[in-house]
Amino acid sequence: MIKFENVKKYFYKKDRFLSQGKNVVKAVDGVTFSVDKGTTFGLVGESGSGKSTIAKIAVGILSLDSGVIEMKGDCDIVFQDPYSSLNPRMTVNEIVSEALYIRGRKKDLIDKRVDNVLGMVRLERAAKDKYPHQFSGGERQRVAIARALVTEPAVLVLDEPVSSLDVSIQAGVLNLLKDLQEELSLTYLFISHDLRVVEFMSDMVGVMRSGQLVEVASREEIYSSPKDDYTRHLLASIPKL
Amino acid sequence: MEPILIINNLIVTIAGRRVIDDVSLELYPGRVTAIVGESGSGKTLTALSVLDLLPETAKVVSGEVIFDGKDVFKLREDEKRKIRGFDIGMVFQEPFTALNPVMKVGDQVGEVLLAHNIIKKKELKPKVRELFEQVKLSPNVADSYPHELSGGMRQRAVIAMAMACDPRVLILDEPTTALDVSIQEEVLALVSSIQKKNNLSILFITHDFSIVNMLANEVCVMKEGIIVEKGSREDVLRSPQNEYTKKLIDCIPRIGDKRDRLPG
Repeated sequence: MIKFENVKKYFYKKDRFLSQGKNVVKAVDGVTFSVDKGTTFGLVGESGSGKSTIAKIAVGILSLDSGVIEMKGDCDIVFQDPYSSLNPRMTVNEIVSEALYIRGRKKDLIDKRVDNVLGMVRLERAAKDKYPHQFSGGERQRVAIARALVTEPAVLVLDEPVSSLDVSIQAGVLNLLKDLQEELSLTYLFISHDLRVVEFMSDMVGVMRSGQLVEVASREEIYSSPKDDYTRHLLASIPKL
Repeated sequence: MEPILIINNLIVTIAGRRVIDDVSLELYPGRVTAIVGESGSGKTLTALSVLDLLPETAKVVSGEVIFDGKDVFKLREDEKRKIRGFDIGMVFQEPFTALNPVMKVGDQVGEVLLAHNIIKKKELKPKVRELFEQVKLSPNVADSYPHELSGGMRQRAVIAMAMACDPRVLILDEPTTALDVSIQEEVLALVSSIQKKNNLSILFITHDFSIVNMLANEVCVMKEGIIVEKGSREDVLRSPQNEYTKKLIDCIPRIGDKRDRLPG
């Protein structure tokens, strides 16, 4: 469904005189992986590892410098912070339907689809006329998921979708994402710094560090017999419960 | 053992709503008490009440905070200032906002020592060096500004500030929530070693039960301003009695988790 082949994305610092040779940030430096239909590829790494750059490249917000990306079907994204990713001056109905209006769909079909997709994310119909500030963090993230799903994408990029939520709310959103994946045979690129959440969600896992994938393997292999030292280090850092 | 800090039946309201609702807890010498809860549970406000640093909109309706036999709320402002940063050190979640961006971190640590008059100016430099070494930072870092440091280094510098006056109590409010896991582990290991070495009493605020498991002796679980469960780490984590505590522990995915869905 998704294929990244030797994808590179470098950023250049503007002030080349002062940064003296350290002017390139290799955010994504030769990344290769593929994701099968209906499965979840978990991308895990610490801050600055390049995982969010991959998310943005996958959904087309950023262009790539070199390499090849293949994607079957549409792709949409859910961001980390549902407080900043939703326009505070738009109602849920406006937020969720916007993409359909842009695509020139008819109004009655749009209304039907919005109702439908709000039902999928377990939000009541009354939510349509409310504004983001009237919702809790978990509900807002459901709105963001509804917005992503409204155009019937085949692939969803989930960039730290539960990192800003309380743990009890996080559980509900993770369950919902699993339900939706089963109902709609969605393919997920799931990005997180939390190895526990990645294990819970993923079929395959890629561990990122400094723009490179240091290890790609099935969930079982990554968590029970990690090959790479950095993967082992990350796993050892998780406080046990 | 006599507790070093006692909160008795504290009730605090903001705009008429009870944000701390009849909270009582004790902190014992050389022990770590953790307050666990989700956002809005009142855990941070409880920590702030210990230093009488509640926001102006908050109103203490009743209750008391007893430190060293004295009710903190009844102290004069200058007496409170003596306790803050001297007897009780504080570390907040975001090291970047806790530090002054236009002041070298070494000077910020030194400022605490000078403010409490516990050191002569010429002894300052070696003392600051020693404090930086204690938190495993190179003494050269003292000459850096906060933006030149990583998140983990900043939090170490904040811990050095909190430890400057050799306090008896340290309050840590989500000190590692803004940090990457591998850095979090280092900072928690540092906190644990300082605690043991100095026989410190720690009030540790967190949303994360795995950190409670690492550090705490006693645990209070808070929800909507109320302590819903209180007990030893073993009791609360291994055999929680309260439904909310159970739910909070169960809804966290774990490594090797075979569950297909989480409760929640």
